[in-house]
Amino acid sequence: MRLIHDNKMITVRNLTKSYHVGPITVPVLKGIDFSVEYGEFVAIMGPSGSGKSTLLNVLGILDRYDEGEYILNGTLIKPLSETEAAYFRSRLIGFVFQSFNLLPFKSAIDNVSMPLYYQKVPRRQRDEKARRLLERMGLADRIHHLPTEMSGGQRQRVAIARALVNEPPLILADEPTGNLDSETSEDVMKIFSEINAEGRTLVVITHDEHIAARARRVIRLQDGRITNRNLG
Amino acid sequence: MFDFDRWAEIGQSLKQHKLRTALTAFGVSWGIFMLILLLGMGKGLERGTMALYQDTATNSVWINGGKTSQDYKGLTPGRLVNLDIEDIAMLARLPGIDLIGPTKLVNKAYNMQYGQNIGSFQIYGIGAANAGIQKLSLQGGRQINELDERESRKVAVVGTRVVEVLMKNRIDPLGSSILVGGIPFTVIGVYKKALEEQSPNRVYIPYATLRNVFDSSPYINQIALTIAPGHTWASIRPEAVKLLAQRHRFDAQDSAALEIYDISAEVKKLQSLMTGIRLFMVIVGVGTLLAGCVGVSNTMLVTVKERTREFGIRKAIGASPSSILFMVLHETLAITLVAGYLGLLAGVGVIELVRGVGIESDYFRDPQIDLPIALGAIAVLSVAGLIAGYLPARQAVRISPIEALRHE
Repeated sequence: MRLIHDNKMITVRNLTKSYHVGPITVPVLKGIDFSVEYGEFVAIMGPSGSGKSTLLNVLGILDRYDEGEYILNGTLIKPLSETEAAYFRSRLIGFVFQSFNLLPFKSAIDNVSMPLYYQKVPRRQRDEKARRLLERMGLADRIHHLPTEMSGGQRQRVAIARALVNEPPLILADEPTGNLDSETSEDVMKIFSEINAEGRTLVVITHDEHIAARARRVIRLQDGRITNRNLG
Repeated sequence: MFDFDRWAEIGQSLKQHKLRTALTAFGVSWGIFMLILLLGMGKGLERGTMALYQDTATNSVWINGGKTSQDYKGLTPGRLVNLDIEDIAMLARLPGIDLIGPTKLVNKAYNMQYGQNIGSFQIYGIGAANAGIQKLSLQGGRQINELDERESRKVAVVGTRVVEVLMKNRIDPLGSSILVGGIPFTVIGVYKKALEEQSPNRVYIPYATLRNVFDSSPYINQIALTIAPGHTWASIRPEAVKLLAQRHRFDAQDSAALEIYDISAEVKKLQSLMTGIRLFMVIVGVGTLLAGCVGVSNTMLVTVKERTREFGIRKAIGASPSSILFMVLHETLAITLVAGYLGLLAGVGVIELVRGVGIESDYFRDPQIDLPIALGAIAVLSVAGLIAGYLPARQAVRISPIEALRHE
């Protein structure tokens, strides 16, 4: 790990990644270059199989890359131990997933406060913070409900609250509206815009041009390469 | 260990599968229950068996005359060896012999009478030293002593059955006179039957009195002796047998000529048998416990597999590998310890119940679990819990968050 002061949230240089399926090597990312400024809202678009989910996994330190450089918040992310990866995820990144990924047996407030549990924040503070975020998401009356007792839109708002709870500078969202109807999608995207307006950096993968339209910049991926080189 | 959040997490995840948790826990409870039961009952077996010797000095040796089986200086085999009172005096001079005394039994049963009641009982003449060799447990009164022997007093220590028949248990037998073959004897002691095979039908009188009154022959039935501290029968035996062989003219190598019971050797044999039984019980108990732990490990592996997505989510939101490892270990440990503790309580409960009911027989009495064994069981449990949890915990740590999150 190396500190690099490039004053960007994300810098990716000539990043490649292949999957190995038996003896066959399948290149997925074939040299990606882009950067994301602090406070930017970037959408990544592309057809399925273009490598956008893989890219998001790499950006989220859930997966490794082969060649090139990934600098997150001034830190070169090169093979990290699981513990280091967990540390950076916990401090720098909030995830929002298409299928929400809430723990079904935990109430909304317990789901939201979980990242703080792993940062060893005392329970009272965790609950206080989670409660405030849920209220802000308009879920004041759903605080002690289980995810199964909530609609898709409500679940996604719980998931967003969870992504925000440890105040990460970067939010990564993978098709956050993929499972929602258009009206609820609109609500969720409004929330994303607000988050961005607060100064958090936002990287969203989406199929939806309406969503992408809210982003300040769109990165288009095709076949493991960025096709719009004009920006970034 | 006293992190409440951690315990809350454990409670939450165990509650999700109540039946499975209960069945898994039962395996461990059963294992520890069997271990405790086996060890406790083993203790009972040991105590019961050792109680067989409670009336007998464990350093005692008993010698009876046998029948020769070898030629000796022109004498044919098959002769009876009749021990006599001179043998006692001769052996008493050997270094290493502490107490020594004769037992002589009158060949015919005499009628004994008290008032109108008559019974027929066996008379044994014993030396004053015998009280220290075969310790008759007295219900009341005293043993035959030196003075009784020296003065050939007409005193008797009788069995409970004798008191029952002659006195119908209605009067205090101590100090009263009974007629033995028409001769009055004073009852000085009543012994209680300690063991099943011990007869309550005997009347013990001083050896000297028996010879004076009933049978003047010098022959005796048995020599009883104890070994002085610092000596063993093995070291005394050759000399003792040689002396007896010379007097009674048999080959000292002739093992049939004397019947010798060395109680210390018997006790030692029993003790090693008990050690063997205890070891066996520990192995069986620990084996049962191990089976329970394999059950826990297996269940936890399945649980971890089922919770792949959950662990993936936890990792994605910042759970470190060690926090996942400890979470699973902690869960397993919680199941094994709680279940084990319940099994321990049940085992101790059953043992105490058996004790309370007072089941006793020749080979079994007073089962018990001592504190060190209980603590040992807890220690074994903790280790077993950690071992049972380690594999599933490693499995959980290896889960990749991407795989887990893809897994719908």
